[in-house]
Amino acid sequence: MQQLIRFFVRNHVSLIYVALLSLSLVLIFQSHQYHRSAFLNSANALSGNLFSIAGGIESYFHLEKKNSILAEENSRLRQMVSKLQTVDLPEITLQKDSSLHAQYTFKPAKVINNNYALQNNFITLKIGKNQGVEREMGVISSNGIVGIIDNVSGRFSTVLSILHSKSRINARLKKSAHFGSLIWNQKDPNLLQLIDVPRMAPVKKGDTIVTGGKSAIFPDGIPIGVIENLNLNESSNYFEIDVKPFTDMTNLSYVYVIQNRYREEIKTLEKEVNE
Amino acid sequence: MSNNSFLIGIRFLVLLLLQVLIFNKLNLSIAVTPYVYVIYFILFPIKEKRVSFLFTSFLLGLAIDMFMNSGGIHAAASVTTAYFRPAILKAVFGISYETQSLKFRQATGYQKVIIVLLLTLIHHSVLFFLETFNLNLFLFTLTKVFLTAIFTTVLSILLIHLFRPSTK
Repeated sequence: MQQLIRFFVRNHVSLIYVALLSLSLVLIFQSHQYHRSAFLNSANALSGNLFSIAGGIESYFHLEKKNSILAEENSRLRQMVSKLQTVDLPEITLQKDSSLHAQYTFKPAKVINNNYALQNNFITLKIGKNQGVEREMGVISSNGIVGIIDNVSGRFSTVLSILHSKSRINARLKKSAHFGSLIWNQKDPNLLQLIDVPRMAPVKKGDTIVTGGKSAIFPDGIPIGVIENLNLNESSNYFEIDVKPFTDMTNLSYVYVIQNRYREEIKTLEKEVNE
Repeated sequence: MSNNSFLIGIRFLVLLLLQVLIFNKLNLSIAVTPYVYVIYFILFPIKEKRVSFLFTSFLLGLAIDMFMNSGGIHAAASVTTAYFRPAILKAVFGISYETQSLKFRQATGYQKVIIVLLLTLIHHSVLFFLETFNLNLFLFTLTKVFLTAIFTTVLSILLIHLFRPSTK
């Protein structure tokens, strides 16, 4: 017994080191688990407020760039409106139905912290539970997808960026319905990988990739990016595709959080099916 | 003693804020982020208790983890760096480490570079291998460790010299 106590006293520094190291390893493994996020995350009031103060100052340095992004988006939307106006409306008969209420609503949110140079990147937004944001809502920028809401507090939320090893998004080719999963190989923040596209799919370099709409998170057809490289893996019969995203992940200022009206319904239905 | 603790506390906060508000946003084109909060492990008084060194280092890492949503990788890297510091100092200073009350600022320029580089290398190796968590990317991670370590070392030495106490 005495020897045991002496051992603890002599090696207390090493023992404390091992204890603290194990504690941090537990935290890491916990954050690696799917559907479970970091125990400590930047959606809390302390880091949220700090980031929003710093982000408020920082945002003044990029006003010109942000203006031009907004102007571009405006012109694109205007073009869409003018196209719709030239369609001969009386020929289409619209039935008034409650299902015509928009299924998706888009809430603007300010980016107060953005990581893109790490292996697992998160974005912090100044929008939270008070504004109706929940976990697993999609986040897009004016150009394309950004990520999925991960942690939510009252006024802030963190986004699991598409530049994260856990990120996996259902995506398809714009011109056909062949779909695959969009992942990131943790190397280049300007290149994402589309996997599981079968060899019979008509894929060409320069094709556009959009979201597949096979989940309750993103609506169908949100642009993702264009195909940069592709090669066919002969052994597995699937394409390995590099996608260059439309969203410049290094330069985000405002994003939209997507709310799906039927999310709860879809989820409960899927749960019933799985049981 | 209390004066010393106060100084350490201030350093803790300043380095934390510097890291999360400025240096995390300083991304070079090759995606290298310098982790200058290693200055904390460099400047922590050598004669101070090792236990308090371990605990405060762990807390600093945990605080960084909170801001970066990284689970506990910074905490693990920090506590490891703090644990191995005495061995490095012993190797660099030799016998005088045990006999004299040394301070980092009294070291020669050459010794300083070696200490900073070794501490940074320990810290970054643990950090990046835990971060990537994928042995397929071993070489990629190793390159990243060395590139970032060089960058962090240069910046840390510059910062330490920039903010040295004015009393001589």
